[in-house]
Amino acid sequence: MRYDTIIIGGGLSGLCCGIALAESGKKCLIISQGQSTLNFSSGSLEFAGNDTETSFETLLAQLPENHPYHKIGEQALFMLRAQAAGLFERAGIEMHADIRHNHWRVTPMGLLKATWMSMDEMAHFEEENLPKKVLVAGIKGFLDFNVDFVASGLASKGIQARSCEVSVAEIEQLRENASEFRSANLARVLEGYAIDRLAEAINAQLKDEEYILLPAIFGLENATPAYRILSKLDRPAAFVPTMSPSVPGIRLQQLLKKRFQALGGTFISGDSVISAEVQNGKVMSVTSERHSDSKFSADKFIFACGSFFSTGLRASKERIYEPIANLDMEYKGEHGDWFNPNIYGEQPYMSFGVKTDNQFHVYLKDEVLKNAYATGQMLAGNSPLKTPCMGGISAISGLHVANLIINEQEDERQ
Amino acid sequence: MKHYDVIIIGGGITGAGCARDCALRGLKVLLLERFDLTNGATGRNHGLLHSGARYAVTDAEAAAECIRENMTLRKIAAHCVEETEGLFITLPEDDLNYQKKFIESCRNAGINAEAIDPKDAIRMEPSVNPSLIGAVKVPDGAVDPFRLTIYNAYDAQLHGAEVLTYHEVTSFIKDDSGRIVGVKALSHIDKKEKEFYATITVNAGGIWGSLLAKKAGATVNMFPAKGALLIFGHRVNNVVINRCRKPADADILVPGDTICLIGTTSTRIPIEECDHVRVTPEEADLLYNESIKLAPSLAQTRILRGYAGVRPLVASDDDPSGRSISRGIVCLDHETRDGIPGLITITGGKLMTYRLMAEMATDMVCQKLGNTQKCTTATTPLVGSESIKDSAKKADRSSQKAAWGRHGSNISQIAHDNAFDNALACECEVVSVGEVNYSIDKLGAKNIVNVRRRTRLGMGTCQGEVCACRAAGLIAKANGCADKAKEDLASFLQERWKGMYPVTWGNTVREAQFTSYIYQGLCGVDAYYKNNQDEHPVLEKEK
Amino acid sequence: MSKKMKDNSFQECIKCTVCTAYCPMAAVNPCYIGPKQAGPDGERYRLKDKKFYDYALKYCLNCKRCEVACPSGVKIGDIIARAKLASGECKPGLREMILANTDIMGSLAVPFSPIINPVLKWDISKKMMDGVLGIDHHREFPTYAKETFESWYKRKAAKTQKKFDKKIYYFHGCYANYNYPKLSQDLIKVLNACGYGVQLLDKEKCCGVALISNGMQKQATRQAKTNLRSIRKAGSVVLTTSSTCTMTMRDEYPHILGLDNSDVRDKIQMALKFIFEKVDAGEIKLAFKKDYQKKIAYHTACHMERLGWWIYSTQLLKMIPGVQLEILESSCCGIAGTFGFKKENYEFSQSIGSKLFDNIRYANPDYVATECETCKWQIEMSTGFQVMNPICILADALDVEETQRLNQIR
Repeated sequence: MRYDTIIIGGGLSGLCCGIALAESGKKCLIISQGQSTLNFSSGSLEFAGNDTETSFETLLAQLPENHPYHKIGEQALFMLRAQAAGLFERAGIEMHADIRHNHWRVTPMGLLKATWMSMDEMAHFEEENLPKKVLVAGIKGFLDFNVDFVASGLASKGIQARSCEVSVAEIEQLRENASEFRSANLARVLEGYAIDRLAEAINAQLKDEEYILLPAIFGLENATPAYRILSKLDRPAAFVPTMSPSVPGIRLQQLLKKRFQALGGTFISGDSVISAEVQNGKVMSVTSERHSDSKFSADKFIFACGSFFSTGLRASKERIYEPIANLDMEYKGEHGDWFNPNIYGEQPYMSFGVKTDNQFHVYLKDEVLKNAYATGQMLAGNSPLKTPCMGGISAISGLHVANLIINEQEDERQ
Repeated sequence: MKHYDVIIIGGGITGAGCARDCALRGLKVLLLERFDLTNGATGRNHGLLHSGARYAVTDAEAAAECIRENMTLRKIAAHCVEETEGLFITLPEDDLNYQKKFIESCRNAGINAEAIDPKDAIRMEPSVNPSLIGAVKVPDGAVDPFRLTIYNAYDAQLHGAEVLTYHEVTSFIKDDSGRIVGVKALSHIDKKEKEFYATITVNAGGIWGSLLAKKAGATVNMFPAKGALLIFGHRVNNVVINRCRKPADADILVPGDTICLIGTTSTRIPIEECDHVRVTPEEADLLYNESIKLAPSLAQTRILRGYAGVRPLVASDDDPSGRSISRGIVCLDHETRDGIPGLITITGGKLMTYRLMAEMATDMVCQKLGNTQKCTTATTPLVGSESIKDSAKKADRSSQKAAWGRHGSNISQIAHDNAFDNALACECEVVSVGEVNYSIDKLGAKNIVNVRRRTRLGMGTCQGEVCACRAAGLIAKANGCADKAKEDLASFLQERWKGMYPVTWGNTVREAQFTSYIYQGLCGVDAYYKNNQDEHPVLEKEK
Repeated sequence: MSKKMKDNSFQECIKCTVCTAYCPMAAVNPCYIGPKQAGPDGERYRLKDKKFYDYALKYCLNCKRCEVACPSGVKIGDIIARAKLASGECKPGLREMILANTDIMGSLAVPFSPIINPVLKWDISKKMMDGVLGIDHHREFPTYAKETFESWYKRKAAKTQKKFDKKIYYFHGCYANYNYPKLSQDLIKVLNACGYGVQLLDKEKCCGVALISNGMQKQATRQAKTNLRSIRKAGSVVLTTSSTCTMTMRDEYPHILGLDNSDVRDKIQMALKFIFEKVDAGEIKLAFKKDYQKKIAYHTACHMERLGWWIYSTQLLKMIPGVQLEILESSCCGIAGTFGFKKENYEFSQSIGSKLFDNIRYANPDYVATECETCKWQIEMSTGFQVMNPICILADALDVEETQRLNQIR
């Protein structure tokens, strides 16, 4: 089966790349091996930096020189940030972002974290509009969103926060099997009137708070339930991410996938690419586990397979490798050097990845593969938690590679 | 001021066993532990219910002690013991002649050792290396050292003993005659120093016992021997597998609850390093390579973590140079030995012989106090092991079934009548909210590590990724201190990582990265991490 | 199970719980602990205590959507299916015997189909089946054909099929044999137009999927062995029209029953994939009727999703100029083979499918297309829309003469 572009990996990077290519009329195939890290996302994407004042340009200059952003360049990054916002909007996802600097999001610990882009209903604040008095309203017995943690974290930032827990009959029913009392299960029952009653219960708890924070457990498929409860509450309100799985993250994944499919893209889930055929410095085709007797061929191939978590990268005791094509890697040292004994310290393994040239072409045995690219978390030099660029690097590099492909083909035509 | 008959220093299995024995004999007991129960060697070993076979050839006396205690523990601590049976296998590179000598020595020590056909051994334990050329069946088993210790301490409490964890003895109090009449202890909870008085003080500090003795002015020569072990992600074997050869490194594979573990190594280390032992990459390699020889499928099995403990070996008393090292029990009366009345040291020995050690120490205490009560610990079941089979019938939910395996008949105390209590906190090890709360309310858990030792929460495949935050929340709720619970959460994840990073490859890297994405990326718990390493925050309800 | 076939994939699970978030049963049934717990978590615990979570295993639909969602490659559905068989939790009763033995029931019923079909539709018989057997009265048993496909083939087609130069084997399955021979006949029509003669296997037994899900492992293994023997004897590609039979023979035989089929697995192919690939490679050509105009909504059956082969079916349907194709969002219809027939499961079954039914009503197509026969019954009963196997649509739309000409058949 032949496509213009085949993207290996259906996470944020693969989807952004695929959507951008499909929007320009390319016939794309995404092969996705199960659900991606989006399913655990905060509902926000980080670009870089830990504060809301410093401009992205300044932050870029401070990044280590092997960070993949440097291959894109300051100006292109500016354009890509704008492009990303447009892409999400066309997929029906409202995002809040400032193209120049970060805003705050609220973590499940109640901390404020600087972030570039947040789904609109998620709690996001500029420094000057942080609320002063907040009610943190959770669900009784829901262990993956601790209202006291959120409240105490906010208090440490000088925000007066009080916590409360409520429930409604629909949720009580779910408790028959309390062993899986998780965000996604709650989201499935929180629809329609259940939401209205939950809002009533929360309203009854209000005192003089000016703002309400809720766990992000509304709307797996679309944002309607999320906006429904916001509209029924007596105060302005927003959502704080829960422990995994992430309801807004699942929705983000679904909406991007739907957008890709609506543009004519083919999305195969639950299949993994097991090998790539390389000839004369080009990838000719790939083979997947489920279609082991067929080949998928294309003009361009994009590796958007993620990092270790998504098995885009693998570590054995002896080496770190890319499992599909054994692409050239950039990493240092031996097993003993890959990990920092302090879990919160700089973890070398996090920034290991595949080697790419300035156009994100990958290498095989020191030879550049002219029609194959890598994007997202599998790029070497990307340090998602320290930069932090979790999400940002995925969306931006995915889009950037799509632009490179589109431009190259336009050049060829002229 | 309250006065005790006896203060026991050290919350390992020896101290807890002593506390129970003393309490059962009607003494007023205080147990002081500087961190948590089982923090030392007790919580860092194989969890092997030795048949004694391993020592049969080299130390007949120890072997005989082992098999007697083995049979006793099956009866009195049924909920801490799993009767798995054991195999001593001879591999092609081993000398099959050793087997004869081995069986003979076992029989002499009273251990029922029986040579079986290698084919029967494979039938008995399908994961065993199929190239074995000889096999001997012995009555080995598995014992959970955490449970055993914690229920000894809990049983002691039920008989009137007081147990104070996070109280570190800093010095001994002597009266004018030079008699030890009590101790000063620093509370790691409120950072205050307190005084406790008793007629007799028992030093059950394990490897740290020599430092304690020094504080009292006595010399006890210890020989710290580090042992490293690896834990695999699930049970590969259901029968203990040993190598039938002279005891060496990494030749015992024990199934323990949901996992199995290989150990150990043995390396002499300086006593100052006892608080900070780690598995080295070399040790991890050795353990891994040897484990595959016992059960080849371990080569495809995920390694959860590595850990190391320090054996409290003692130089025999008449040889202060320490050349002759014994694994036997050492009970020292410092009054007669060093002219320091009021102090007894109980050390050496093994997890297997803790009850006997406690009996010996308590006999000495009683003799000094003029108490004539006889020891009953060999026949009185531990709390949780009484009518254990009946209680199994009451465990209908899976979480109760799992809890029954951990707490025996004590499950009747675990709340399970509403959905909140039945919710699972730890999904890998099936630990309910009720069980976590029980560990806090009844078993004295003061942080997540404590809950882990009492319930297995966080000991499963995900090493805390799913459950750590939930447990932190429950502890916060029980004690009303959210910020400190978050510090504890940060510290707990670091504690888990410490055991993971030396063996992080394959799926363990995925798990580690996922955990970092969630806790550092999504939550930002790193902001709550205080660089205090081995000591975890202690959470207690304000009194 | 032989050592070679041992599946240790449960240890790949990193406890992310994505599977549970996508499980159709966990969504509607609060008693179901979900695939993660019943599967990899339970498997780890069952190494210690064989009975762990056994009460929950019966709720699994074996839809394998958990496996599709899993980022770690854990064969969750297989783990649960194996545990279910091992636990003996689903001891088959009379109802299970009736539901699971699709071929025995079929061969008994077909000769009497004029009597049996109306009887099965009577309210009184439905009530009796409901009360006595526990087969839900809402359910309608699929009607039995007047003549099985096999006997039609022997009588009418065997000779002509031999005349073709190129020959291909076909595993028809129970449904296309006893209930809906037209599907098999349509396949023959399409393949003949492309120049292929259709051969039946030496001996074909029911693939055994219903036996597996109703706890009849021994019988399933026996039938599987017969089928594998016949497929080996055929020695070439064997085409199928049912997605479930295909997945069972390719994946459940080795993963659940522990039978090594690695030598023939790739040869078991759905006809739609075969045809698409031949067209894609330019080896055969298809021509369609100019006046064929239909709106088709394609439903990805669970096992098609697992196979990943819906791409071939949809690409083929897209080749028909008059077809306006809408690919419905992939979701479970709730019937799950014999599961939905059981009285105690009816409510779950319907609420699992409700999203799909809404989507179908919203799309308002001429036909719903799907490769799974039980999805067909469920969707037809629940929405009233007619459901067709894409092969039948292809056959309807095909301009046979033109196709023959293009493929140079006289």
